[in-house]
Amino acid sequence: MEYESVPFGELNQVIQSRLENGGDSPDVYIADQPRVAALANQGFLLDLSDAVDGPGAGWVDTALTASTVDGALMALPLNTSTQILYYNKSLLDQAGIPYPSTSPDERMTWAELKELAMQAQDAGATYGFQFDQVSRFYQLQPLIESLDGGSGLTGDGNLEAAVNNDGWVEAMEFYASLFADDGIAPRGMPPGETSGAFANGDIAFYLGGTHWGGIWELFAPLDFELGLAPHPYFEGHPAVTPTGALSLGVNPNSNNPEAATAFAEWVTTSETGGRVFLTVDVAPPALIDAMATFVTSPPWDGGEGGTTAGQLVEHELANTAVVRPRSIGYIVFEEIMTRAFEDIRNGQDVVATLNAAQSELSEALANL
Amino acid sequence: MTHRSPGVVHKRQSRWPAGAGAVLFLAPALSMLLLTRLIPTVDTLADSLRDDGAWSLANYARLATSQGFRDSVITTVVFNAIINPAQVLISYLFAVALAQRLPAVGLWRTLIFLPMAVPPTVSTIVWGVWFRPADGLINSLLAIVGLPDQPFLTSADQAPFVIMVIASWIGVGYWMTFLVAGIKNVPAEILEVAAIDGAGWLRRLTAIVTPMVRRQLGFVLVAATVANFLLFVPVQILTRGGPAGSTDLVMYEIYTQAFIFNNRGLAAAEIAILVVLVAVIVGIQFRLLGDRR
Repeated sequence: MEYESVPFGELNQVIQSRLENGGDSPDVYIADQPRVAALANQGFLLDLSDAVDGPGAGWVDTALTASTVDGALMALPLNTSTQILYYNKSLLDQAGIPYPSTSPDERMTWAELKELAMQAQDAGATYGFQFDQVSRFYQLQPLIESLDGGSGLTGDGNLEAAVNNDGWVEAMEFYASLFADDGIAPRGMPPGETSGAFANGDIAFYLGGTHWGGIWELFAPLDFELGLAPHPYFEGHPAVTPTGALSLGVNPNSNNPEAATAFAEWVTTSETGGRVFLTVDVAPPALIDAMATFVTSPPWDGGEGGTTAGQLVEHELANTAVVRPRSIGYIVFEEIMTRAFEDIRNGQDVVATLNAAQSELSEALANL
Repeated sequence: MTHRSPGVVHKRQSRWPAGAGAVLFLAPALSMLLLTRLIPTVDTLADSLRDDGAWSLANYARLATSQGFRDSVITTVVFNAIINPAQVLISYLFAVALAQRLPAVGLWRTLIFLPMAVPPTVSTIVWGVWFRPADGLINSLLAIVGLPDQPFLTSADQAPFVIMVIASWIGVGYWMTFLVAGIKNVPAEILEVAAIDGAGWLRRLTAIVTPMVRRQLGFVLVAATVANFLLFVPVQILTRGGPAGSTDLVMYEIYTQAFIFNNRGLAAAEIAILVVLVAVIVGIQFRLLGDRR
């Protein structure tokens, strides 16, 4: 078997160009969950509804939902994801900030986090705070949904734009304030550089994927002590966390669809198969049985304050996680919104930017 | 073999009709031309005229009303109106300087040409890090001379100029080599005579050298225009068209439509319009720079 690796940022374009002319390679490929609907719509995914026994085959609900299109299972969930608020204990010590609780019931509000991040910055941290996937929808959806802005796509098949309502504006005003001149987070740092900056000791609080904890623990130890806390929330609003990760899709033009399906099934529904990926991918598995092993293995077994990090991951996935909107227009949506988020981060007017995005998105969705 | 009688020249009889040899030798070049130029051109044009499996002008109609595409074309034209004259001027200044008898002139020429040998992706990433507002090299250098931090790529006003700097860092050395060759071709006698007649260095440059390298300058302007209208890498890597559409050059818009929005027909129509636009501008340049009789 041949394994081919491409950078995540290019995954979609590579799949697109390889499959659109009926190419028979690759047989099995990684399908980013929010793109499953668009991939299925283009005929790039084999219907796998009959491939697995029983409904769901034991995957977490959010991953199963994200892989299903019009009731048909179009891809098999491989892993899932959530985010944790990491902090640099040395930088908090330096500012005299007590470590935040690990309990989801005592999570910080965004206002508290902003205040503490400012204190850490005043006490010498280069930056008080940074998002892992800054200016990406995955990262910002929890803020918007928590303020009741919705997912941004609505209507039949999620093909109508709704990105300039009050919830969106409020969430984006808050986002902009983090990066303003007197803010706590840097402009001009792309998502690919944020984890490195935190690992380098430049950032006090870092809202990032659970996989980073795994990478730092297992492959790239940090020079400072790492602290963990739950994802923050807006006071008076529900806690919302991001989720969604990768599924395995089978190419309908594969020369050997049975073998390809069997392989995808083995990887996604058996612990041994899953481990093939888990050794290189430290994101939580979509398979519930495998999750038990995951959350009790390093680094997620080490907890503090009564709640272990593994339990925190389980809690978020079960209670606060929201899936990105399922729509054949998701790719268009993500591209246009990424640019809008970046403009807002760079200080463009929030309302004007969201209004422009709303009309650009409506135009692009009408072209689909 | 035919028998040769003295005094009579027998034309060699070929089994192939006349011209077959030429066709045979031209075949590889012609087939490449067909495969890599003609067929894709026709294919793209055909794509642009198809909508939902039928022939139509729908893609062009959509572009005519698309605010995004119109903005992108305007951005591209303004961008080119600045970068092309700037690149020609700077590469000419370098060429003039490096055509002089300077110590280690080969080294300087190599250093100015060297960016051309670095993959554009690599130089774009390195420049991107240098232009970072908070901790980039350029702002550190500005701080040394007492200037405030600049927002660079995070500002809609400055981002186009940053992209121009990166594109020119790559391009200027390359264009310079053509101009150095042109300057070196100016006959030394003419310059000597002019010097004897009392023309100073600047006068010789403006009255003799510059008119004599007009053809090379024209070539560089046209080639730079084509290259810069097709500029893509720095935009894709650093700004994705932002902030606020300030660097949304047409090539990035085409890429977005084709590979992200999967809208091949619309992208093909954009390509057709871009090609016509470049052809018109290059045509105007040729007219302005053509040999005046």
